[in-house]
Amino acid sequence: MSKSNVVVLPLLRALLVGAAVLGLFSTAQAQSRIGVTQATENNPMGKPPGGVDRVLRVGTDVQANEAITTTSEDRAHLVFLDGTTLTIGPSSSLTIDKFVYDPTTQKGELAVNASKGVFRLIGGRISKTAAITVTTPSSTMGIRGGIMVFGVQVSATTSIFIYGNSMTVTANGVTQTVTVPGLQVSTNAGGTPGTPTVVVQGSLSAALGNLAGNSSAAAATLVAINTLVADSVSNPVTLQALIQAIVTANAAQTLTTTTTTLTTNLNVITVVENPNQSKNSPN
Amino acid sequence: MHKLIAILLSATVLLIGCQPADPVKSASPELQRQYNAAFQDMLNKPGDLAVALKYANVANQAGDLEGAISTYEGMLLIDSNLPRVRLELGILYYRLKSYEVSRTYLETALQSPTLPADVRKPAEQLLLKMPKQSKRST
Repeated sequence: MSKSNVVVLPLLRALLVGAAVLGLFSTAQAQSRIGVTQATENNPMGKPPGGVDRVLRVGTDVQANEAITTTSEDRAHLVFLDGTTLTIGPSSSLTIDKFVYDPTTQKGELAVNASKGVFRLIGGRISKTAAITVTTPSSTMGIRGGIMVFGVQVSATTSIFIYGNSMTVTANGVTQTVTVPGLQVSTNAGGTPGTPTVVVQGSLSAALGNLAGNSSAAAATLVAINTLVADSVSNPVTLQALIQAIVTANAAQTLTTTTTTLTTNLNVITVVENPNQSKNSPN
Repeated sequence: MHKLIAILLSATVLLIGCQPADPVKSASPELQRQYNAAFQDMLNKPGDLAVALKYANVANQAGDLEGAISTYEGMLLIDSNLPRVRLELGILYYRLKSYEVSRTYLETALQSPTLPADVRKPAEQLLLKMPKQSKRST
């Protein structure tokens, strides 16, 4: 073996090993991407597992087990690979505990842990077949195929069901299930979920207000958005017709659901677990 | 025969009354292809508003109203004073029968200091049509 080969072969080997390591690293990076930051206000922070704190900017990938925090001036809007979106309001803290998604079957699992703040979760493909789970200091919530707004404090959690198949709230062996939009469930730390009640308009407006940004965008940005939205939607004449059609369609369906809507308690199911039943038992 | 027709009609009414588990799966293959492509495009260009709106429109056509809603909600994070976006959200939530949220968005659209005339009229029109049980009691 020539002297040059003695030098070149280890070098080549080192390069190949390095390339393989880099390849594995980038694959791991690609695999750990579970979503992307679509909109932000100010400087929401994200911390991937084993990583360092970073500001979430528009386009920043969101990774599995990432912890996200906001100050009183920050907000973030994340889109997951299954189409689920999560809006994180000010003064919030949340960790994405689990995200598994198979684009072929369009099934998977999403679980988050929220310790404080206000949030909106809009379920994507995963929520069509399985409940998305949200754990807070005082309760565990599940949302199927829909939209939920929730506020979390150390002392209590309030969950508002906006739309979908169902929202469950569980604490201390008691589960409340809500299927009617516009109902909320409050749970005090250490207690059980309260009976669902009609959402108080003021608290709904406040929650939605917390999840929208301030009026701080540049004038040019606003003009661009307004123009894009106006162009993409429809002209005022067809918009009027569209609204009339929507109202008529909803009214036709309301005929069969008015009673259900008015007697909301019929749609509230309280389940008390059997205290004698083992938690490990499938039955 | 009449009994069979009655059963079929009842089944149809029930089907119409129920929100499908995943309406996108009932869309045409071409619309599903457009929907998936628009979503991937949005994931790759999350800051592109035109791409986001295209996804919102296709999602709307495919029956994925939540997908359209999430796009407009994201826009309100850029700036809350977007009455046209609030009108769109008001309409979408109305279609979902989430009337309280619909009304909140329509009312805040009408409070905007930069409210365009072509937004005011449909917003007011839809508010007038809001089901009675959803009207504010105070």
